[in-house]
Amino acid sequence: MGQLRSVQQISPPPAAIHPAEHPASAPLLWVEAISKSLGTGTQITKIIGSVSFGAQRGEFVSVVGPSGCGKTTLLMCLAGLYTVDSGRLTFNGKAVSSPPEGVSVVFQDYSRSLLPWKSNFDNVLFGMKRITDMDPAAKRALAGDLMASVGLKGFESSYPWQLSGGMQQRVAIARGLAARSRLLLLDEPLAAVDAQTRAEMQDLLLDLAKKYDQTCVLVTHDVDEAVYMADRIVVLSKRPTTVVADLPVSLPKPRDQLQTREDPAYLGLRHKVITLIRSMRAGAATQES
Amino acid sequence: MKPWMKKSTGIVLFLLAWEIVARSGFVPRTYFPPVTQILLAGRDMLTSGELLEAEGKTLFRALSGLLLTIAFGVGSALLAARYALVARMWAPVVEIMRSIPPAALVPLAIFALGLTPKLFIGIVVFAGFSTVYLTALNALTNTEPVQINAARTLGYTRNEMLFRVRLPAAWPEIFTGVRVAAGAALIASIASEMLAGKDGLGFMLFDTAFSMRTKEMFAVMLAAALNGILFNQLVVWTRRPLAGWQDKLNAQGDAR
Repeated sequence: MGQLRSVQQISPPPAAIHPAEHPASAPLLWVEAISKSLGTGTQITKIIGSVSFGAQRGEFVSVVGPSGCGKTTLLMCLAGLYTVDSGRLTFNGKAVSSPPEGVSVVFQDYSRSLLPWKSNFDNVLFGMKRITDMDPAAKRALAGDLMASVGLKGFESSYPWQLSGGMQQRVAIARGLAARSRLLLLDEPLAAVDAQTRAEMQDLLLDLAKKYDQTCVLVTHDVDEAVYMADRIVVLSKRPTTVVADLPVSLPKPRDQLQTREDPAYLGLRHKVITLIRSMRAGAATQES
Repeated sequence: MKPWMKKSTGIVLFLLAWEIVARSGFVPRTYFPPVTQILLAGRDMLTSGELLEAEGKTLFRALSGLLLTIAFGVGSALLAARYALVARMWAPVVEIMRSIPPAALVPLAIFALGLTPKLFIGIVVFAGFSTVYLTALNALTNTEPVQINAARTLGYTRNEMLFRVRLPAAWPEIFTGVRVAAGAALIASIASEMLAGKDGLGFMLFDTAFSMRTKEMFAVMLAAALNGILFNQLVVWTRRPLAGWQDKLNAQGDAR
């Protein structure tokens, strides 16, 4: 269990940046040559070799790679749920060694991440643990607003398991925003919902990111989704993971399911990323044989 | 025909068959008295007050014992779930406790606790504790990892997580243990009264049986059964606010 690994916890990198060295224009999330191994004893596997990238304030970064490339491990590190073995990882200028305030995670497995004994509304309230400057009434008002923002007005008193997959994930997103996050880490949040809902949810996420001023890191294996949503795409190698490409996306905003996906720039980028991932897979196949 | 009609028809037919067999002389009447005579004997015992008094005593012993079992069992499971050292230290102790039949403890308990209500309550607690402790610990340590991770990223400390995520998630499984402990509590209360009691339903059962008052013995059995039904209902009522969500969730899953 993640919470029990304090024994092997390493001290945070000594070079935690001081605010003076860290102007407002600096990236909100900074990842510099981090590595991570999982397992114990002889079963240790190096998952992340060396990964570096950053996310500017308000930026939407998509992280893609071949399947089993350690995307989820990377996201667990970014969330502070795993401590990195080496390298530097900072959020808002501070080294990340435990889950930092201001970072919310939307997990792929919404049906397991929401609390089934709480109503949808109470699940959103559950996200406000760290908020101390609001009285209960103000918190309830904010939770109500968030429920409306994710399009779930009227579902406050029902339970997550009474909703469809897409709607459950909306509750999870509202709960993440309820923590007044600045960075949303999205771990394949739409992998388990149907295609039509997925397109709808992509646009909802982009709208919410704008409305609530969120910086987003989306980890996904869906290249189309990665390109459609991103301002920048980080392409990962297979394990042990390194960054293969860090590509800017210069598609006009707001994105549109029809126009964006027919844009030659979108198609070109999609082609490029898929080719990259495919070449890694072919490489892996020849290595194995 | 409504469900309750079907159910009660079954009971009526069963009692009727009993009455006919008992009166036919097919079985010795001393050992198997007709239902009507049992009910008459029961009515006499009720009006004299002795049955109600015994039933109340046994119910108090079983119920207070069960409440203590739940408090100790869940409480120590919470400690063990929070501190791995406690769990490791407790494990062999609970393992030994589990292998001792509660009735085997009665002689020791008579010396240690005396012939007091403490004796019966102590046996009841002993009978159910390991079950409640083990199911609760298992439930508390098998929380969905995603729920734990989600709560951690939202800033919940380990202690907060224990009470706000792990315990609520564990209630449905804990109640399976409680249900078993409730059955054990009823058995333990009656058995300890049989072995060491001078009152209560268990004592009355032996008392009436050994003096060949079989009609009265059956009436006491009926009273014990009523206690069992009441007990079960109490568990169902307490379970609903804590673990009722699980049933609704399961029903939802079946409907899909």
